[in-house]
Amino acid sequence: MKIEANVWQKVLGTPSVEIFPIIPKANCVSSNCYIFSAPDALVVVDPGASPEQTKQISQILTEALAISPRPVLVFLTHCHQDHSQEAGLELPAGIEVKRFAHQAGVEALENRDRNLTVAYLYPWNPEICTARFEGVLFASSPASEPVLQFADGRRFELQTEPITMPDGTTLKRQWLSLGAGNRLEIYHTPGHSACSISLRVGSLLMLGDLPFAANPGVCGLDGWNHADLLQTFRQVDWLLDVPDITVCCPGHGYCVSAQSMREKLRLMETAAANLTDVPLMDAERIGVLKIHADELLEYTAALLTIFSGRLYTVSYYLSLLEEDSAASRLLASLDIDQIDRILSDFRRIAEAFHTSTMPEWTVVLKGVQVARSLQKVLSAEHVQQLLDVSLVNRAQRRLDEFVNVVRGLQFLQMEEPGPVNKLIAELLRRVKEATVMKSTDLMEAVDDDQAFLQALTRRLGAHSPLRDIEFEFAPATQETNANIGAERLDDFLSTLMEGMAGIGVKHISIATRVASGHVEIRISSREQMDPTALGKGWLDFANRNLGWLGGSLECNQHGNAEFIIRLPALREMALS
Amino acid sequence: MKELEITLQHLESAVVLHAAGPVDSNTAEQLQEPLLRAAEGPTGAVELDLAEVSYMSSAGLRVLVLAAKALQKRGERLRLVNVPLPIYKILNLAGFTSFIDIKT
Repeated sequence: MKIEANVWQKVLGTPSVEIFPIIPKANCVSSNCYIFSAPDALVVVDPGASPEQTKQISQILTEALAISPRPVLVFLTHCHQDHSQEAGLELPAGIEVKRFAHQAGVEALENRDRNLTVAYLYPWNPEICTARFEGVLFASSPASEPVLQFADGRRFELQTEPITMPDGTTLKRQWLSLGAGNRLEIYHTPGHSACSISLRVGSLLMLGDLPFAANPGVCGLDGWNHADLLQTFRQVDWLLDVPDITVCCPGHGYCVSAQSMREKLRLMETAAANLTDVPLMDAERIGVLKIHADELLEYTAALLTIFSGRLYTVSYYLSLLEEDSAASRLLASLDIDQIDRILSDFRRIAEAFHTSTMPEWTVVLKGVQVARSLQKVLSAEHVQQLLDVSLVNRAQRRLDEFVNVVRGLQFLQMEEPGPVNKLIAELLRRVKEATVMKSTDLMEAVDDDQAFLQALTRRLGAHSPLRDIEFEFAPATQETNANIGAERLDDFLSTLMEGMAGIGVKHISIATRVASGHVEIRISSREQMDPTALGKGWLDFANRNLGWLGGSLECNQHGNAEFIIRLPALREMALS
Repeated sequence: MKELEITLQHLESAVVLHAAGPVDSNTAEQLQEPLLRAAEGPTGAVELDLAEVSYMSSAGLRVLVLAAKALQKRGERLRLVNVPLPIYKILNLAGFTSFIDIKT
């Protein structure tokens, strides 16, 4: 069964229920809404938070009520602002509306809890839903009434029938009749929030935000719980084994087959397994992540523009050699336009952020989306063959790191540290090796036009900006073991020195020394240079990264530029 | 959001284009049309003033290469002037200084 937005359609697996899905472009401001028409009631699952959507829901309900007046039952998959706010349904006189949510959600709404409803994420300080919730689902207190009586005589009784899972756990279930043999089942599926529920009508299962619960930027929201989430993944996996459920309807984005949702949830379960110590995604953390997203994307955009530029340079020279078709093939092999569009979109969203009330969280989530799109483009095998591998790897590592940081994982301590002197010596040796032009690849390919062009392309594309730089290195005589991963330091120093080369520096001096518990690396240009020409975004990004490690970056200008990188010495750390 | 603006200045021996704003996938076409028209003209140098360009993505680089190719056919090189340092850095690292005259 394929679910189409904005149209009534029969729900398979029920005698007579129809569904009208409202599926806006996926966003974090307002959720999807699913409206069901059953003989005894109209059911609204997640009204969402946009006034336009509330207006549309009111209109759809009003039309359905004109055909058959019935009570309206509103259910929340959870109490988050984007699902629950509902700007006030306008229904014909005499129509009764009763609302249902999990007890934890009802309490959060009654207490106007800005954390549990995640209202704090939205800078316009939204009002929390003030509607009364008569239907308290999975109530722990026996005082709550399982029967809801309507003025027209209809009554809805919540039946409680827990399911014992094969693994011995219990899936809490309630259900109520919608008339004429139709029923609505409700499962308690916590993890994304304590009040998360899933709802089943016939062949459809509405999961709320469970499919995103392990996503970077979503895990760690107030109310998120790792152990509950893992159990819910297992229980929903079992539910999806029931052949009668064929379609899953998420809280955001399109409905998908039960099979593909099952695969997605299994991937999520694997991703969630590591998330044992996720920090709370509070306003302060979101603010820091937003800045990090801005800086990282600026850094990555510069790297990718350099990649693209190198391909254009190669294509220019291929054209000069009257190899226009080879030049076109080269450019087509990496979808530069797609990369450019992804980055331009992000840049525009980030810029629009400064002049709008868009939540910072939106920028963080968009940053994750962009990072993942770029990771996909860069991991293609032909890209690795075409471009300077060290640049591609550098971009990949920063993107991975960003996604992990948003997710709450920092692997900084898992990197293998190394002696700084040795690492710098290796970096300089690598640059020197690249400087010595190897001609063997070209010579070997000379008899094969295609292979020759590929070798030529590789050579032109792998142009190292450091190859024309004259280096001086004065290493410290002491041990220089510092608390930084060797790859991270290599990335950092390479980017810094390539940036210097990019703005015309020809001579770079490097000196290391150990002082006050730190390994210090001084990198200076002989030529005049303004350090800020490297880009404020990159300097801030580097400082933040070094700060995480207990280090720092200092820039001085006395005509020439000097960068002082301080890294905590490993020996000192061990003593402390 | 500020968009790209291009103004043209016809001098005796050159056409000078002044660009202001970001050059990215949304705006590069606005630069491409007048720049290529100048580059594909029969004579005269072509100079692009980037003093007020806040950002240039690969879509902008592509336009520069197209213009450089067109000019190369009549033995000329594209001239970029007043190039902001962050853009100069990218152009230099991408190897553009070998076929375009670039001044900061």
